[in-house]
Amino acid sequence: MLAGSPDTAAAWTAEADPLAPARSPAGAPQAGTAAPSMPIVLMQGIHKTYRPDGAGGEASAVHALRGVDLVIESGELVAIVGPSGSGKSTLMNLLGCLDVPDLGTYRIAGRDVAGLSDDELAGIRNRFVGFIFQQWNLLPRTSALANVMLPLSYRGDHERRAKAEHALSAVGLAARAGHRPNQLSGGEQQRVAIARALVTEPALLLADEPTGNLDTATGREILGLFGELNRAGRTIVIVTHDPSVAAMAERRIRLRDGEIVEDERAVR
Amino acid sequence: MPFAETLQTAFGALAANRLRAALTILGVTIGIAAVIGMVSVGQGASDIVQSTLQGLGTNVVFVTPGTRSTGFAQAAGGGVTNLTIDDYLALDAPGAVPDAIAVAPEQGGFVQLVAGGDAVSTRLTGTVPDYSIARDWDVTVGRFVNDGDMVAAAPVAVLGASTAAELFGSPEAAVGESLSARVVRAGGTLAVRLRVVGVLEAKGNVGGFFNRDDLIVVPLTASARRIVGQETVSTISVSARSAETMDQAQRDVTTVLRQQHRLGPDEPSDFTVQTQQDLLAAASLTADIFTILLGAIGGISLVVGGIGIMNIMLVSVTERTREIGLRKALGARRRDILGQFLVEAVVLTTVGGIAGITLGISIALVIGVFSPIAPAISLFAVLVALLISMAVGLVFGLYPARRASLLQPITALRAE
Repeated sequence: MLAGSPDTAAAWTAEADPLAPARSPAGAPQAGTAAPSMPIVLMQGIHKTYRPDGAGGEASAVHALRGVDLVIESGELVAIVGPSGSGKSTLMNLLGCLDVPDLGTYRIAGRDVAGLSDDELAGIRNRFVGFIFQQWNLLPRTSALANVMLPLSYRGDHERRAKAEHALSAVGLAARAGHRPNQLSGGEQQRVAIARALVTEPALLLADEPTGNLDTATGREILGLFGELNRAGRTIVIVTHDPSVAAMAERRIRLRDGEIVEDERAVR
Repeated sequence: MPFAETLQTAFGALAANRLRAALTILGVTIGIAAVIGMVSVGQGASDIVQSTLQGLGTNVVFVTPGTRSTGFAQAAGGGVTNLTIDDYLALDAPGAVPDAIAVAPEQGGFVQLVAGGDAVSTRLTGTVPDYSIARDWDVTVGRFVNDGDMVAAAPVAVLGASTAAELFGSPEAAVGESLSARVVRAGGTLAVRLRVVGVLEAKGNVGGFFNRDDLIVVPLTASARRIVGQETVSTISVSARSAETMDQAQRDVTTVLRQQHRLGPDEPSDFTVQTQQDLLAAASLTADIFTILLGAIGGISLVVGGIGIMNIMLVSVTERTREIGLRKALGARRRDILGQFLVEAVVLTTVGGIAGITLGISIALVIGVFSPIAPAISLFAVLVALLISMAVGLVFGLYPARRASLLQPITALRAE
């Protein structure tokens, strides 16, 4: 397949593990993947404060994050847990470059996000982050294949169709490529969303309550898929308040009142 | 984002709300239909006026009674009838207007012609032999009014082709026959017997609007003494030798008539001298005003339609806030979102424009069937209409699209 493009063909050869991050034949990391020594996430002294519109007073300000330091290395599977209001969502938004910190440094795969414009942040998200939402957020009236192609379209990738087909088969949905979201089950929709997150070969997979809308069996299936992806070398961060989800992660970070109160690694 | 995909997305989004899209574009459709329909009909009407005026002959100076300041004032000034046969004689005098090759006064009115059992109503024109030259109009059978008829005020008539056919069946059958011309005058109806001496060649029907072959021509002297009973004429046509001598002829005619009417240097002329060009200009001025008026109506409905587009695009942006947030999370830049919503608005108005063009042409064709006006559908007008409808989408889609493009991804993703 893809006879006309040797580079990509090398990354997508049949013998390569379809779930593994793409690497060039020599084994060196490709653009978009951090060098082995460089952490995927490097956060130092992150503060984020929300001020409700119109109210300038310090009294109404919400200190969502108060000095968070966080390092996530390539290949880790991290669960971020904490009660609601603990700053989980804010941390997730910052990790995904959907927002920028007020104070502190954040480097994603070595790139500092400070001072970047909206469009530059969009470019960073497109290159380095794969989002998986609780609501799946698939475009209705649009085929699974087109949904998976979307992030590549914003990048102007000419091989987006082949890559999207490959990503769909990697999550076991090759036969469903032409189906629209409303013709798929919840688990299948979440698999499409995972394929969409994977298709760009992101440095970081960011999942927000990925099993929140699924029944237990399907949820377990999806978590299994995350485990598989992680074993294949993917760096994954899952934001959740479900203990069973957190339990499968090798590293658990607990947030409370905008601070990291616990960072434990499971011994396996 | 490749354009083909943006376009596909736009059609998909519109197809999801077909009824809403259809209602939204109605304003644009009606605006474009009004413009296309009216321009087509207006052009058709203007074509008729132009060809009628061109049918009057070339290099002709027209003298009409009264002054004339605008295209509309002519009818108002028509009440003052102060051109007479004497004015004609002064203009026709040797050397009065050296560049004239023919001077043809006309007087007339409506008459009823009766021959055998048939009766028709038609226009009567009392004129002189030069009329045939000034109008470049010959007889096919028999002869035209000649000098002998003029001197004798002979009760003879030359018929238009249609009139001859209606009364006698054919031009050949008409010559030599006699008929009775009835005219209503103060004190009762007058009937005059006239002998047909010739039939004019057919000039054709101008768009069904005005049949130039429906008339009867009699010697001016006969008309003045026996039928109309007045010495006044409604118009005097002066044919110039060439296009270059038109201006000189116009000046000479003015000079002669001012002397004839004994007007002092400061007095305004009580007559109007116009060339065919002047008449064409007046007609096209009328047409222009008409066009501007229709354009304004079309413009207003396009603006109203555009506001409708803006409104529905704002609704669409609000409804799809989550989708916008998702697209931004996946890497859409501002211009990607801006482009997506702009293309959607332009697709909407373009579809509306195409529907409007179709509707407008249909209206014009229907008017063409039920009226003598042949609609003139111009490709130019259609293309301009298409461009305008696209521009409406671009202008009125810009604000909603910009709003969409400036949404922050986190707020947009959190939206219900």
